[in-house]
Amino acid sequence: MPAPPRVEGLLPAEVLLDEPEAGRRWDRTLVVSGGVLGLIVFFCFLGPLFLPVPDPSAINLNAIRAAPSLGHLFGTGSDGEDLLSQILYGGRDSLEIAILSVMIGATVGCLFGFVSGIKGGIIDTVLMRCVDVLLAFPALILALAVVTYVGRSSWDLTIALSFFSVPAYGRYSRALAVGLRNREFVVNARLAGARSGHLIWRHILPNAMPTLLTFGFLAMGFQIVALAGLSFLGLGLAPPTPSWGGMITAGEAYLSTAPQMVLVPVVFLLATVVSVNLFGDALRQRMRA
Amino acid sequence: MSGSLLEVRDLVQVHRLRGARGGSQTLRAVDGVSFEIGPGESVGLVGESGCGKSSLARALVQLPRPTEGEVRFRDQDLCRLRGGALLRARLGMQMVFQDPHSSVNPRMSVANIVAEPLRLRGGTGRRQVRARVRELLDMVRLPASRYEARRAGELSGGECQRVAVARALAGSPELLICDEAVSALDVSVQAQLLNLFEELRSELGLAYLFISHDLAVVRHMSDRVLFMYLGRICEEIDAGDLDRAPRHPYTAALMSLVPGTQRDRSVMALTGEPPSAASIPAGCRFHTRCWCARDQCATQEPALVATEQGGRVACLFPLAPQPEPVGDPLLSYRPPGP
Amino acid sequence: MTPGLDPSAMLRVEDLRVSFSTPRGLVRAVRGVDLVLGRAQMHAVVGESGSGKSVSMRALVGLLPRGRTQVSGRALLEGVDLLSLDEDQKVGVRGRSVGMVFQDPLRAMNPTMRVGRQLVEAVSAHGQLGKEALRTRTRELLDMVQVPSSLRVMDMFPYELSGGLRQRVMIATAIAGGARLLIADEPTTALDVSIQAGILDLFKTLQQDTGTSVILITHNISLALDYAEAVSVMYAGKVVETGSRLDLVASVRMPYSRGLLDSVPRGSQARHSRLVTMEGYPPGPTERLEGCSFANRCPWAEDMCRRREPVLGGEGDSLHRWACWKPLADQEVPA
Repeated sequence: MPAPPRVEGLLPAEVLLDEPEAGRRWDRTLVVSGGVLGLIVFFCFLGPLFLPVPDPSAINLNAIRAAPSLGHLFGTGSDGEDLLSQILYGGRDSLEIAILSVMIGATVGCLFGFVSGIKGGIIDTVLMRCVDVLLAFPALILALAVVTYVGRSSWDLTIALSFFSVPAYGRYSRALAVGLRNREFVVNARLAGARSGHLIWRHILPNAMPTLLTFGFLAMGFQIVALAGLSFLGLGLAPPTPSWGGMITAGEAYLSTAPQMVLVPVVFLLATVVSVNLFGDALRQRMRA
Repeated sequence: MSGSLLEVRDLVQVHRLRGARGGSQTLRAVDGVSFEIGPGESVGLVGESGCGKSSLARALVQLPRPTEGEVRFRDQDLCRLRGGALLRARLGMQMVFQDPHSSVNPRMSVANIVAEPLRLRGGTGRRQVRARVRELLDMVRLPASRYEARRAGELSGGECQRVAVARALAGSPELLICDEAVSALDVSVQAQLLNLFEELRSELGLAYLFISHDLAVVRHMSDRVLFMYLGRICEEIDAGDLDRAPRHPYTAALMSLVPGTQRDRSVMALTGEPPSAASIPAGCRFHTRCWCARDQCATQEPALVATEQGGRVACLFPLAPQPEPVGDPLLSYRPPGP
Repeated sequence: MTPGLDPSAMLRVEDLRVSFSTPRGLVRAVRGVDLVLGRAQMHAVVGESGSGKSVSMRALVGLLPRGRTQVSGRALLEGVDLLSLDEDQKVGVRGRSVGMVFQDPLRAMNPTMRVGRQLVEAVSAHGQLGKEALRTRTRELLDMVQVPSSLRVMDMFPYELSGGLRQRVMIATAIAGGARLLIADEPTTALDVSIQAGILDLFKTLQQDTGTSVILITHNISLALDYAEAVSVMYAGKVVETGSRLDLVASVRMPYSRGLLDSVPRGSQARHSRLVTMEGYPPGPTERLEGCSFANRCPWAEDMCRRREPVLGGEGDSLHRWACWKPLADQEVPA
């Protein structure tokens, strides 16, 4: 089909208009969300090292469900445990598990997906059936199964949660590979003698990265919520290990009397997930430009 | 036979499409095509959308493999080769595509793009690779010092296309398949690229298969021209005979549509739209749009036969050679009538 | 500088300028366009990408992104300055006085709505008609664009139509409101050559039968010279040469126009010969230019060309005008 010759010379003026206010708007989002995320991560991982934060499991029966005060910045829980330290330690675990599970899920998923997309044919069918099997299980049930039968350690939870992202990444990365494999530069690479491995590593992956990264951040947000959900159900990290979901369970009954027990973890969950998503999107915009 | 670089015999490419309302359609995009290209020869391929020229180009390089037929490159049938043997045999054929920005990996540097074929082949040291990259960039008139390190995504269409050509030349191919390689470029840039192709032809002895819908360009670039219609070749003609002696009505009609031509195009008006390859007319494929079709054309399919000028034509009633147009069509201007 | 008063001029554009404020700086997309369009005349605006041809014509109907666009100059359509109208008036102008035909009809049409309904909408937008009258009018329009009723186009979705038919329907939509001026932005670029001729012939028919004037925006100068009576060549946001088709063919003056003509391989040229090309690239959209914008690529450029920007001027009463300090003489062959 004869094509419109709008490619040469320089960008027609209007195209420049369509560019996102690369200087301004997205930078703000990037900075703010990145800042919030950075702060949360910093304090969760490094806070306990230099802040005078009491042991999260320290029981102080004199100050049960106390309101926020100087000694306990966020108040205390049912056993007098400091909520701030619960948030920090619980956050560290949540974030660790979320990041790791996404990374594992992404790697495995992309391996399936890219190979599937590039090779096509029988390999494609077989690999995608495997992914479909995983997809067929309701993710939460699968996680529950793993947790019940394998255990509730950090590692077990990470693996369980990574199941969530494998099929999603598998399908997504396959779609990306299929979309890219007919692009002329891939065809040219084949003509130059490239085999599938080279194509994936040098051509598909770098071009799929921005999308995969955003997807990763979105997935991370989801994992954090999923983990909180599991914890809320009592199937996450076993007490006395603090977790945000666990804090919500514990504070549920006291919503009217000691709302801080629920509100604090909820606010943190919200802040983390929202900033993770915004950051991922802003990053993708940057990488595209 | 053995003198030719590329020999295509009875090539067939069938696409299976899933119809819009379920069910599948079989599309014979290429329906029995045979031709040859000799070393250093420039052959043009012209046709409108749906004629199968792009499918043909892809079938030649086995991406995807044609359904039937032979593609003999340097006397090896690519259709019968697999894996590494195919990769090696195919290296002598390279392609340049229509969309310059899609032809190069936007995230790679120009140097890496051009070096990739060399690195894939192996056996060349880093210094040699760098030197060869510079040589290639020089060949396409992109000063290495300014372009080596730039990312392809930053380049303009014309620059990208030159990079694509440099990369195609990296392995010293003998045949360059240009699939609408200049169609997406501005006219002035197009002219630059066409000149470049001609230079490369004389400097390197490259053979070309130049695919385009733009007859003016094809006529300028080619020694011989193939016209495709609905998956078959309807005429093969020497480029010099195009003005005066097109034998097939389709060829004549397309030639009359070249802007600035003298021919009275109202006489040769093509009726209707190009039909889809999914529903090929009976008899002569072209008869539904032919401006001089006769009854017989609806029932009998013409075979591709040799002409006196040394070409081939698939028509039951080929046209006779026409009088030479006088003067420069553009200068001796004739307003067209509706 | 102002064109001789031509009482039959339907559209007179004077010193049209359009700039955009973008994150990359001020883009002067159009830096001075003067154009005279007669009645029942086809005027081609030819230029490569970045020349500003589309932007300038869209400015006429106010189809530019609001807010960051600055438009100056005058565009008198039968006495009314299009550029001074407010938003509501501009919408009224579109369709009633000026119709636009775009390059890609698929994008200009709603893919989920049947063609008939879209056409009816276009007709109804310019006055309420009864059901019968509507049907007659749409049938009338389809006849005008030579779409046979046997094709039952009205019941189809846009994707079911071929490219040529879609474009004809677009044209029908554009003239539905009785527009006397059609602006066609690369209307045939995405179509096959054999269909192109049909569409362009249709424009000529409309031109002759209904007295509609057409502005044909195209990158293809040969096509422009084939169909249009008057041609304006644009470069870097300005009209650098304008005149009748004969003027441009027989006595082209501005080296860029010459360059465009030379870039297209012609039958009279020896095959495989070197095409005369213009080296270099057009200036970037944000570049500040001093002197003639073509000077850095022009083989005849002199000091004056680099210092002062040439203005569009001609000889006597002739409508052939060019913006060049060193115009080419008749039939001058480039060095």
